Amino acid sequence: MKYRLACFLTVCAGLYGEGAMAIDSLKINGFMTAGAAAIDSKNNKTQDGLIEDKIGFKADNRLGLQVTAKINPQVDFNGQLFAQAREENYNVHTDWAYITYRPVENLQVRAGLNKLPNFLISDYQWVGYAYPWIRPPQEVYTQNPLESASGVHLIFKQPVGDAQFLIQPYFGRDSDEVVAPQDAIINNSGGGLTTLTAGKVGHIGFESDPVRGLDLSLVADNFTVRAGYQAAKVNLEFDTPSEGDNWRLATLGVTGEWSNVVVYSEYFQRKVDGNANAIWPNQKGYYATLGYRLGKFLPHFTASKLDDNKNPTGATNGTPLKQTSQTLGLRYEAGNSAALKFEVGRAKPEGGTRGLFVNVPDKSTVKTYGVAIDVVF
Amino acid sequence: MFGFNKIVLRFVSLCLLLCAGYAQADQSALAIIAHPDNRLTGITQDEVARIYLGKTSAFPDGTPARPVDQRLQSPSREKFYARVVKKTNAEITAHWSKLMFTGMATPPNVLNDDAAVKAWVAGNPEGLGYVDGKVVDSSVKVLLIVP
Repeated sequence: MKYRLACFLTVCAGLYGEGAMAIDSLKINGFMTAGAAAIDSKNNKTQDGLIEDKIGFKADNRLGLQVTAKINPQVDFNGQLFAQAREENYNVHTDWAYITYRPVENLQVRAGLNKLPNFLISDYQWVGYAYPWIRPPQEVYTQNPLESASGVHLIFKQPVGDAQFLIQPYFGRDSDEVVAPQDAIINNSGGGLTTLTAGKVGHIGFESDPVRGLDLSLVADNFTVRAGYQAAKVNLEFDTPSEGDNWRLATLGVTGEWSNVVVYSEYFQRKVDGNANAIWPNQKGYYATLGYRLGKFLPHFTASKLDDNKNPTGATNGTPLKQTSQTLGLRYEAGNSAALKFEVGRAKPEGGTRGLFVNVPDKSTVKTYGVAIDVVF
Repeated sequence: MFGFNKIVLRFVSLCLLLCAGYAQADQSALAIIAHPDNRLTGITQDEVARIYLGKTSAFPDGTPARPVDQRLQSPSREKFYARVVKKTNAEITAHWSKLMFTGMATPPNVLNDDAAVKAWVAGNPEGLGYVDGKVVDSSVKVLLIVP
């Protein structure tokens, strides 16, 4: 980790040092969120282990630094360093780093480590300042671990009247870790079945090779509509070597702002075959957020649902999680470039499942409380 | 003939004075300025707003545009975003956070004041800026006056 950080900083320093000659401009910007959250279900925590039954800071504390270096009018370099409280000791990692080449005004070719545009805000989901909630609706945003990939990402922009139509195909590979549901039964490398320990948060390494997808979006002045499809071959760490299990994710989303009304809504469907289904059962889900701007205040309400997507029942199939939730939030513009947020949510695991918690809760609805401040600089 | 010209001249001067007085009472007009070599004869508020929001990186005639901003506390900046772009500071910051942190576009460079913007635009053939109408001189070309 330290080595990667040192390399990154050396590259930046190098770019900066030769600034006047080698590059057109160098910009460093950042974002930061500090927050506290808790749930009211005893001896329980959220599935990712980040929000517990006492006030904690792991879920939302994070810092990102972005370096943009224009090498020449056609080429620039983008890198983002990112540290989160959820990682041990705020380990810094490179969240993305790529070179952009613009052969013509309406085409960008990005090569390197890219974030994948799976949902409306997935490519800026850690920049809390840029959206209304403390964290985006979990019934949707926790359901795709294929967040980034090393490879190629194309962005075509086609003006349509005053709006822009964006076509983004991408191709790459990735290896990462996923929070493993502790009730998953997986094939271990010896060929037997292993049940992960209940009540614990486990991590399993996985590879997606290749991961490819297409994102289409229409970006107008006051609204954006998008649709995406992602297909991948995934391999779990403990799995016997194989060709990879099929992974498919289809997403739809819309966001807009008319007068003072703010709307966000998204839907997804996921299908995963083979042993990987133990960790990622077939699920679908959606949310809708409605907000109303009153000067510096933005009160908002979100309703979400996570549901089974016809998951097969077999020895190594996972258990689809079911949950509905409602969240009431308030965002306040605290001067320039800072936002203060408060949220109260209630989540109801359904169908006898534990929902997005580690254990089946001790009550039918679990409340989540959160407060956070987001800044950009 | 000579006398008539003199009257016209006086009339014009009076008008200019009145205009200047009017402009001052109205906290003065804002001028959208470009390099003297810029081939455009004018530009609309909408076209300026599109460039400043990163929606295009070119002037309406297709030549590359490099906009510069003024710092947050500058009176010209306040007027520019209120009258031309028609967005609040919070909206602008949120807009750029999305574009910047996704690598789609970077916000315009920020200069200190009207004088700095005028000097920069005068020296950059692709430059685009906004300044108080009072500081305009022949070193830059005015593309639009925003009352």
